[in-house]
Amino acid sequence: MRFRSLLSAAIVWVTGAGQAYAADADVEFWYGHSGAAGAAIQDICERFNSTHPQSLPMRCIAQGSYEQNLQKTVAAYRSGKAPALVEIYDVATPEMLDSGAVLGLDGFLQSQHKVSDDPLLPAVAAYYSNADGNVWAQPFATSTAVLYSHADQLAAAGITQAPETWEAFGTALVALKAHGSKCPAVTDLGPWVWLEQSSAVMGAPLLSKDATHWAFDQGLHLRLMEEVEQWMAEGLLIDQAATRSGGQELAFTAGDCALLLGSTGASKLIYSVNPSDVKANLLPVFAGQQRAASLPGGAALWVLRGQSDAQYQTVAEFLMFLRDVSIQTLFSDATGYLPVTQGAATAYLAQLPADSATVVGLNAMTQGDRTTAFEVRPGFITLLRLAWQQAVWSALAGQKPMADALHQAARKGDSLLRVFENTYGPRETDKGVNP
Amino acid sequence: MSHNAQFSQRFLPLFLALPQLLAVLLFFYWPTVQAFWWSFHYVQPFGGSEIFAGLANYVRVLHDPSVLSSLGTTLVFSLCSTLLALSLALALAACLQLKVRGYKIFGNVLIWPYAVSGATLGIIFQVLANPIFGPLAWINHLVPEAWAPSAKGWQAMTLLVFAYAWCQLPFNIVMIVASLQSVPEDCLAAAALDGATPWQRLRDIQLPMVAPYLFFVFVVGLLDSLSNSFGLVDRLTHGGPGNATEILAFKIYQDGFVGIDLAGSSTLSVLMLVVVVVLSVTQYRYLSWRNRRREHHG
Repeated sequence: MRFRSLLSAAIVWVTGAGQAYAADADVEFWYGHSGAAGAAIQDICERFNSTHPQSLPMRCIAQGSYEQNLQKTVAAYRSGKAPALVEIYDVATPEMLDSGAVLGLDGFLQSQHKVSDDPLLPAVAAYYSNADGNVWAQPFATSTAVLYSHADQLAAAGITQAPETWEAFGTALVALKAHGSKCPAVTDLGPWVWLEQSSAVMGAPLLSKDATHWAFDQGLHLRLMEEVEQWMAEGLLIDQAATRSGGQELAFTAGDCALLLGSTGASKLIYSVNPSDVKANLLPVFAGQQRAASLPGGAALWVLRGQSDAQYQTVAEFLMFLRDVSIQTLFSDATGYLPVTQGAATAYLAQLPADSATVVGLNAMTQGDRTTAFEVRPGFITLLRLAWQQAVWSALAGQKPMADALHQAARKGDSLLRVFENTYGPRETDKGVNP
Repeated sequence: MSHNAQFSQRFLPLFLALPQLLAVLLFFYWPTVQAFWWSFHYVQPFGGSEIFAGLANYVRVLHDPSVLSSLGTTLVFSLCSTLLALSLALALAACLQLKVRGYKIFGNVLIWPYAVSGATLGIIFQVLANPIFGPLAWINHLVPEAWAPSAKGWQAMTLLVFAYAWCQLPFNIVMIVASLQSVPEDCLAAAALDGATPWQRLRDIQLPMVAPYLFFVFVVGLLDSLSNSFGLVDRLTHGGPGNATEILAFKIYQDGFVGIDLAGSSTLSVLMLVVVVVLSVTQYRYLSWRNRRREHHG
C-alpha cells in the first residue's frame, strides 16, 4: 500500500513538473555564439524586451558552438521541447529545409501580417530559398571570405598591391619569404575557404550538373590544391598550429603572418591591433579567369514548429526587430558580421572605406552574374568537409598524391549524396541558385 | 547464517533496485535498441519518416575507406596504449613490491591521476606538446619543424598513445599490485633464500602466477580504450591531422553529432558493440577454460 502511494506521488510529481515546464510564458531563441557576438545578441534581446513590452519576453540562450546548437536543437525537437527560434549554421541548410520541423520565413511572416520594406540582399536570400524562391530562414551572423593582408609587410617585400590572382599570390609568398618573413601566409586549411569559397569565386563547379556526383577532384580546385601543397612544402603557406598563437586569425592579427584568407566575421579581431595596416581584398582567382560571386556563410534563424500563437507573434516581432537597420548596424559593429538587408548594406557601403572587410565582403557576394559552385545545395556538407580535410591532410603528409586524395574525398561525398537522397527523397535541381 | 540478503516483502528489493534498473534501461539498453533500429533505416534527424534500408547502411559503412582507416587507427591506438599502460604499470607495481622507503606514499600518489578526466588531460597534453612553447619545443630549435604533431600523423598518434596510457596507468597499478600481493610470500621468501634476485623472482614466480590477472587487465584496458578515449581525442588531436587519430568512438561522434548521419553513426556503434562483445566473450571463455584446466590438473 505504501509502495503504491509512493509510486502515485512520483507520477504526479513528474507529470506536474512537465506541465509547468510547458508553460509558454516566454519565447526561447537558441544561438551558437560566445564572446563579442554572444554579448551583442544578449544586448539585442534586452533592447527587444525593453521596447516590446506587449510581446512575450524573448529568452536568448547560448548553446555553445554552431555544431552544439544544432545537436541540442535536434534532441530538443525530438523530445518536444524545442525553442521557437534557432540559429543554424549555413551547412545544415539542406537538412533544415527538408526536416519538416520548420516554418518557411516568408509564409510565416505573411501569416503574422509582417511586411518589411527593406528586402534581404539577393545573394544572401537565395542561399536560404527553396525552389519556388521563398525564403525559409532569416540570414543572421552572415559572412563571406576575403583576403586579408598587412600592407606594410607587402610593401617591405616590394609588393605594391594585394594579390588578385593565385599566380600573384604565389609570387608574393616567395617575395615575402625572401625578405625574411617566417610566415608569408597562414592557414587552417578550412574547407569553407579553400574548397567552397575559392571554387565559388573561380566559378569552378563543386558538383556535376546533374548533381549526382562531386566534381572538385579535377579542374581548378585540383590545380589550386596542388599549388597549396607546393606552398606548404616550401614553407610559404604556414599551418596555423606552427604559429605562436596556434590560430590563423590571431597569428595574422599579431603581425606574425602577412596574408590570410579568412572570414569577414573575423574582421573585428583582425582590425583590433593595427587597423590602418590591414587591407581586405577579394579572394584570388587564376589569371584569365572570370570572377564569380562568393558564397554567404555564417548562419540563419529558423522558426520551429510546435509553438503557441502568442509565441509566434513574438518571434515575428523579433525577426522584424533584427531587420531594423539600427539593430543590424549595432550587431555588425560589435561583431564584424555583414548586414543582411539592402538598406543596411547601402548604409554600410556609404560610410566605410572601400578596402574594409565589410565592403569587400558585400561586393564579393555580387561579383559576376551568379555563383556556379552550388547549382544545388547538397546534403551532408559537414561530412563532405571532413572527408575533404582528411584527404588534403593525408596528401600534405605525403601519403598519397593530391589528385588521388581529392578523388577519394569526392567519391565519399557521392556516397553521402545517395544516402541523403534515400533519406529525404530526390533533390530539386534548382535549389539554392543565386539569382 | 545465510550469506544472502533476505527481504520479507516481495517488492521491496525491486523497489530499492528500481532507480539503478531504470537508469540502466534508460541510458544503456534503450539507446542500444535504438542504435540497432536506426542501423537498418534511413533516419531523418528531426524525427521525420524512417525508411527501411535493410543492410544498406552496413554495406555502405563497410565499403567506406574512412571506416576501414578508422578501424586500423583504433587497432593501433588501443593495442599500443593498452600494452604501454600495462608494461609501465607492471614495472611500477613491481617497484612498489620492493618496499623501498615511502612505498605506501608512492602507491597512493600513483593512483591520483585516475581522477583526471580525459578532456582535462587532453588540454594538459596539448600544452605539453605545443611545438612553439611546450617542453618539446627544443626539438624544433635543433631541427626546425621536426616536432609537429598537428601536421605529422605518427607524432599525433604517439602523443595520443602516451596520454591515454598515462590515463590508464593508475587503474592498472591498483589491479597489478593487488594481484602481486596474492602471490604467497613463502614462495618468494624461499626463492630469495635460494639466491633469486628480485628480477628473477618477478620473471619466474610472480609473472606466471599473475598472468590471468594481467590478461584481465589487458582486455579491460582494451575495451576501455575503445569507448573511454573519446574525451582525450576530442581535446588533444580532434582526430587529426587528416584522419591519423580518428578512432572509432570519435568517428561515431563526428558522423552522428556533427554530420547528423544518425543511420551511419548507429551502424558504426553496432559494429563497435560487436567488437566489444567478442572481446568480452573471448576474455570470459579464456578465463573459464583456464580455471577448468587448473581444476583438472588439481
